[in-house]
Amino acid sequence: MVVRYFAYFRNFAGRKEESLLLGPISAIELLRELSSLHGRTLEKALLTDNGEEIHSDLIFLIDGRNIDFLNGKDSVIGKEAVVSLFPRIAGG
Amino acid sequence: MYGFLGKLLRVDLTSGVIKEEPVSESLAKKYIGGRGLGTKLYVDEVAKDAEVFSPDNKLILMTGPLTGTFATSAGRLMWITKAPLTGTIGCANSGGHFGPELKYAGFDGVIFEGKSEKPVYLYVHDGKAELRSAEELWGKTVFEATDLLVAATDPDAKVSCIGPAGENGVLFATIMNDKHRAAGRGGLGAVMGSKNLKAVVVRGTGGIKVADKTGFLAACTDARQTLKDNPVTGGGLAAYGTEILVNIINASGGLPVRNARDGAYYEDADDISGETLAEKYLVRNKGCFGCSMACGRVTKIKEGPYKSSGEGPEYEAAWALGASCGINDLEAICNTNFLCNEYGMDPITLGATFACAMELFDKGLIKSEEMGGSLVFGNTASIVEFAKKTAAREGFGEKLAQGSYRLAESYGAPELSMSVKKQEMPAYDGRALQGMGLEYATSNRGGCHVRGYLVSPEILGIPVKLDPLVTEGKANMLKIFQDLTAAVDSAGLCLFTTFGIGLPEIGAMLRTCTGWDLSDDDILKAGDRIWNMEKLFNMSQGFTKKDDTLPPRILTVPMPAGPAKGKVCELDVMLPEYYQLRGWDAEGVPAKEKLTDLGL
Repeated sequence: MVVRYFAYFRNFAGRKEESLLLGPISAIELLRELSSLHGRTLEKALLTDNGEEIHSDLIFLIDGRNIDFLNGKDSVIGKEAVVSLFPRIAGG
Repeated sequence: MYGFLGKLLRVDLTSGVIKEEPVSESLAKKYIGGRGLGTKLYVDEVAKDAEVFSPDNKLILMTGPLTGTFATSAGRLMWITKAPLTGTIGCANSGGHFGPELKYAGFDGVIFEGKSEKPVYLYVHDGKAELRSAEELWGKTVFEATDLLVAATDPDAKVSCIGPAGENGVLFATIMNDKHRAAGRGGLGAVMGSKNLKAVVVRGTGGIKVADKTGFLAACTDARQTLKDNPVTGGGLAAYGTEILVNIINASGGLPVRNARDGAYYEDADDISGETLAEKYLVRNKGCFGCSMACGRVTKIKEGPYKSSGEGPEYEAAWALGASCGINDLEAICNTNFLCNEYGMDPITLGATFACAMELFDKGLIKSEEMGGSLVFGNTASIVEFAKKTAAREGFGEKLAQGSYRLAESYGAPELSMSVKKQEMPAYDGRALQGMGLEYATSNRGGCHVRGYLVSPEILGIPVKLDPLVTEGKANMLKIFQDLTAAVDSAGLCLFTTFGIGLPEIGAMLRTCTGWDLSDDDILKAGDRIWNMEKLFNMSQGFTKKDDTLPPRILTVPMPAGPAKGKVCELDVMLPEYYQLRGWDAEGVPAKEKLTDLGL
């Protein structure tokens, strides 16, 4: 799968995107993997303090669909999926 | 009156006579101020059959009760008239520092009527007002005129003016203030130009009285803290500006590509994104009056063919001049955006009109010899070249200056204009964001994103999360957003405050400022009243249900790829529900009982 980072997540992860040999995997499991790969700063932006839930300010897309409209933290991500991670942002 | 100075200027440009008039507090309370009060004055005073560029038409500048006060992000003003591009009510909002300065000079607003024989500007300073010759300024760009006017008046003066596009009657000319802030949509700058009014210059040292100083200070402090604590309004907007939306809208499959012909996923989106702007071209961020969000971008292209500096681009401009034209060169996009500010043109309509012309060319409907250049998808240099030609109405620029609908119609293909009521839709595809499709179709000023911004719930999850691909719940949320937006615009606040605060905070500031006994529901109802007043004006201009629609491409051509693959905008499902929630009949006509309830 491909994981893409946006806004200041790029600073936290030290990259714009990466390819990972993962999947199928749940959304919450992927975030734990990414946290272990890239450290505490990213982890704090992705997960709640206890690591059990997805951070409320994270926008998590799987192939363009927000996991809020899929199966939440249990949404399954396939091997070929594109994951996009955004902090809560706005504009217009 | 509290929050208001209680005085308007009436400027008869034909005779040169300037009068002061009181602001009616009962009207102000009913319509709040700004957009609401200004539109009320306009619809009451101007004959329904007044031609948009005739001396019979009027142009109104109005601030809100919170404008220029300690309320957060309260630097907004509103220009109101009939819009040349659409023929609908035209009201365009702008930030910066000009609106507050007008109030410090002693006036809540200005009504311009008639037409000056020669170019003039209005100078308002500490309770006085005079018309001065602008013959030396005619033909000057916004930046040149602003510098000359400041030099001719007061070093601390604030200037609102038109550029060559407004003078030349470009149908999407803007009225610019503080050089870089635009009352952007609908072509109101062309109305100003038709009156031979180059500029309004204001300078004041007065203040604004509020009803409850202690309560107001507490309400404003509370609102400011809430905005500061919010990740969007307290950091994200300052860091990346509105351009941050490029990647998320694209990743969601909603960024229209090449005139929405090629779906809504742009492969080069990151090249034109807020992240790239911040990394390569951002000098610093900048705030409007009293704003802690500071989303403005001061940007610079240091070298190369597009070497230039200025402000922006905003998200919509980057899309219109970028993805919509198949262009991924952010330097050219910045340069063209700067030119739009200098000449006084709306970059959304300009870019979307370019994209329409590019598709007409692709289809063989426009020949290259007629175009006099190569305005084709992906040709980076062409957007700079044709921006200049459009402002001057030179060569093919004459056709571009009419906007995409008239352009496409002149080649027998109006369906290729991605517009609603002849105004180009901004940067969200209604097939991928169903609610935004409904918003565009029902907006009282044509294709517009800031008349009920459902991107907030559909993509950003603010204040609630709504699935962008479904129709359920969109009509109800849109009505609330439209009414709230009308109230916010009328109060003098920036709409972006609503990313972090809501009616309770806005209502507290408004009540303590004005002393009005208005509940939050009353404020929302005032928004409903304003919306219906605008609707009634549009009906008086011949607009009907058939105009509450979208381009055929969005309604009938399934999205080719991405998360919205196979979707069209299901307007036929949402529109009847929306009319019903508004208290309108099946034809979109407000019921008598509804109007009575609103006091219209």
